[in-house]
Amino acid sequence: MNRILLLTSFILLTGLIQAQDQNSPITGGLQSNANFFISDDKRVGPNIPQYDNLKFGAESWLNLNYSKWGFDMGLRFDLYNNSNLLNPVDAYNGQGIGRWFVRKHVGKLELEGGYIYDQIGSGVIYRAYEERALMIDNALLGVKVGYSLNENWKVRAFTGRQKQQFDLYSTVVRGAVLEGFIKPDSLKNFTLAPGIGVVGRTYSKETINQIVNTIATYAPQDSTGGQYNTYAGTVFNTLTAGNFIWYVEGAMKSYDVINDPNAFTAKGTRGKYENRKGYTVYSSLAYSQKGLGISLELKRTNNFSFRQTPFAVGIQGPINFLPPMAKQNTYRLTTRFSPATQEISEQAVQVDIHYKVNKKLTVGLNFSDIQFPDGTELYREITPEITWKQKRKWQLIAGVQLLKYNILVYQGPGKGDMVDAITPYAEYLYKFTSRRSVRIEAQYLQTEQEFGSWLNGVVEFGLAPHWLVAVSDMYKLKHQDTEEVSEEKKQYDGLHFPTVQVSYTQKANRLGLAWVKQVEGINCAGGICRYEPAFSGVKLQVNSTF
Amino acid sequence: MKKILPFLAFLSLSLWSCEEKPLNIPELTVGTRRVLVEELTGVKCSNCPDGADLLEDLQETFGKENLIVVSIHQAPDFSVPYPGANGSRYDFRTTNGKALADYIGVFEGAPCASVARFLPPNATSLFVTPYSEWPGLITAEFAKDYGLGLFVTTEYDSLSRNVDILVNIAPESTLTGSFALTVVITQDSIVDLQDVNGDLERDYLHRHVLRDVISQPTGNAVEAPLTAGALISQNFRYKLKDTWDAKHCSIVAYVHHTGVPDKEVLQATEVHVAD
Repeated sequence: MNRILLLTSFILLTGLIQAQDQNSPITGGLQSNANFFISDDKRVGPNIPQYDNLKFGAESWLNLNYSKWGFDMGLRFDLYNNSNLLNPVDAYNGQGIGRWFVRKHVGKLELEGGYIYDQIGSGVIYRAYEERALMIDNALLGVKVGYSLNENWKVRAFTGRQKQQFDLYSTVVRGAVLEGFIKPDSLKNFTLAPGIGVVGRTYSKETINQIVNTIATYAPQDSTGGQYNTYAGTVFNTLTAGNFIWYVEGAMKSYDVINDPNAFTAKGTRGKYENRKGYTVYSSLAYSQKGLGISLELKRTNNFSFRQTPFAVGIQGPINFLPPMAKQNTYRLTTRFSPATQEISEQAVQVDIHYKVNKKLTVGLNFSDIQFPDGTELYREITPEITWKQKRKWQLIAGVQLLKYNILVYQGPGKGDMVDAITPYAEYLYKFTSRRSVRIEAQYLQTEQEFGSWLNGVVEFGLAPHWLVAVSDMYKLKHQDTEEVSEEKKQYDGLHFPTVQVSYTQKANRLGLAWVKQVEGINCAGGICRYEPAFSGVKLQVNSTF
Repeated sequence: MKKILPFLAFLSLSLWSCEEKPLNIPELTVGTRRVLVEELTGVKCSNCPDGADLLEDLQETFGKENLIVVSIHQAPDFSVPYPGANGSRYDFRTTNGKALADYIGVFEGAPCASVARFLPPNATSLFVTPYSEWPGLITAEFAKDYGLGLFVTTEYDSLSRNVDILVNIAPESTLTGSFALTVVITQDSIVDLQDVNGDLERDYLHRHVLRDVISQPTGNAVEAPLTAGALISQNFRYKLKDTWDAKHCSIVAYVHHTGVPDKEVLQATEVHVAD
């Protein structure tokens, strides 16, 4: 009821203001997805309520922002009707105020209350953000106070409780960060942007009871301590010197009860909770000059799971964000095996090089390697790529992805240990006129593991600025020797997964309609991944900003 | 810099002045309450044996008579038996088993289990995953006592293969609300195929397999009020199938709420069909 009153008050108030002052309009946006589920026994597993009975699901987010008298205000209405976003094999229903906030600057002071998004450094100790595709929204319902010490140094502190859909976690989070900017007069093209931050998390009595009750069942050898409070501190800096940009961040975490799914108990059972300290180090070095760009990233993580409760898994209840260390691929088959960031332990390196040979030809190479600290290979990707631009008429991108992917670690038992895959790909863009174009892409994923090899092709016609029509098909190649292959591995043999989509854009409004057959797989955004079951049906999307 | 120093001092203080009283890890205690765990599993569920191993450990910790496990082979996709001559010998799925699983809650991943049908904070299904959460939930359930006596006696006729079951509910204190009694039959120690962490194990020992639901899957309504000192009885007769080994069959009975406001299991008990 309070939320309804709040919404009503906001609308009435802003409506009144709007009527009085046309110079301070309300801005915002609407994003709506409507999914029509069509049963398909060959492609979609059983017992998914959207296919069995419900047939329709929808999600929608309506943002409203308003600024007046030095106040910034915002309100977001969220709606989920039989949505499969929270749990891909279940229907989630909920609607209400997903976010509201009020912000005010008073001299050097900045005050904010409501649902707050924020980040410290690269996010390794704290990141409150929204990722709708994975239904991550860990805004902090609380207050934030910032103060500008001078032109270059700012400090801010916050406290609150993190949201969980339309509810709140019981854990209390607080934090503070000092960020600066240093530009020595004596040095040209040299700057520093240092920072230091700390976050504290206090468990509720209920969470502590749950931990204590779990530990109480352990054999004496496995027994471990616990505590209400855990602290994480970080120091970070961005150094810019000429053509170089070097970012480095080191963070530590005090004792925290974390779930190690691969640790064995004294009785031989897999998975247990341990009270461990943790650290993570992340650094990136980028060099760029005309025609050449090189970046190098390094990361090492040790026991840096930092969540609302140690019982939260997957996309649930993250307080921090560990940056991913693999190429952000975009093609359907080069994204099939994406690595999720490992919170317990991981060491990773990534190198990305782009060199423009001449006006037409650019060559690139990406290499990323992720391991457990003991040397166990988790992920290795080598992707050489060339881009050929023929004036403004056509462009060709071609490359090959050489991949090793530890499917046992990333997707759990049942699909083998290591996937070795080679995926050549090409994308051709031809412009008939400045408004009419066709884009064709093709990939061939060759592997003996998981379900075997795939083909994917896309043809997309662009009629700028309004229309985009695309037809694609992902095809599962049949296994040669079917006697030797298990039923699970060849379940998709010979099946097509076609998609036909049309979108219409009118200024800041976009309407998309797609008929989709999509195979099961792992959906990742920023190193956060989750399993997505197959999809069969029609998707309607509306996006609008105003 | 003068302004920055106090902030750095505050940060240091935040980090290092944080000593707190150590947590007291209590000794495990078991009272008159017995705790029911309904595991949702399947022969193709490669992670489920990890959950089953944990439940076996916990039965050793709390006592098999106190922690009662029922394995419902209805995990979607995963419970379909392996086909062919070298496939599964048995199909553990049953119509009533599916109705029971559907009544309890939604499958959100495996291994998963309902602990006394208690919904933990922030959970969205009674079938709880990850399995590392189960020990804490079970310990917490043992700390509860609803003062409800539940007694089952069985009489088995090996010729007719009929088992007569008498369930007595004896509240020690008055309980308000609506209650139901669910009675199921399980079979232990069945050797058959199982995916164990990606490897197909031919001689896997399946434990506590739900064979059938004798009462309604949603439970038979307990019409009489649960007042202190009352004795409420329900009788059942069930004919065992020829392929079931009576020596390894058990009757599990439990009293639970009927869904308003929850489905929590207050008391459970397990007895063998035949000695």
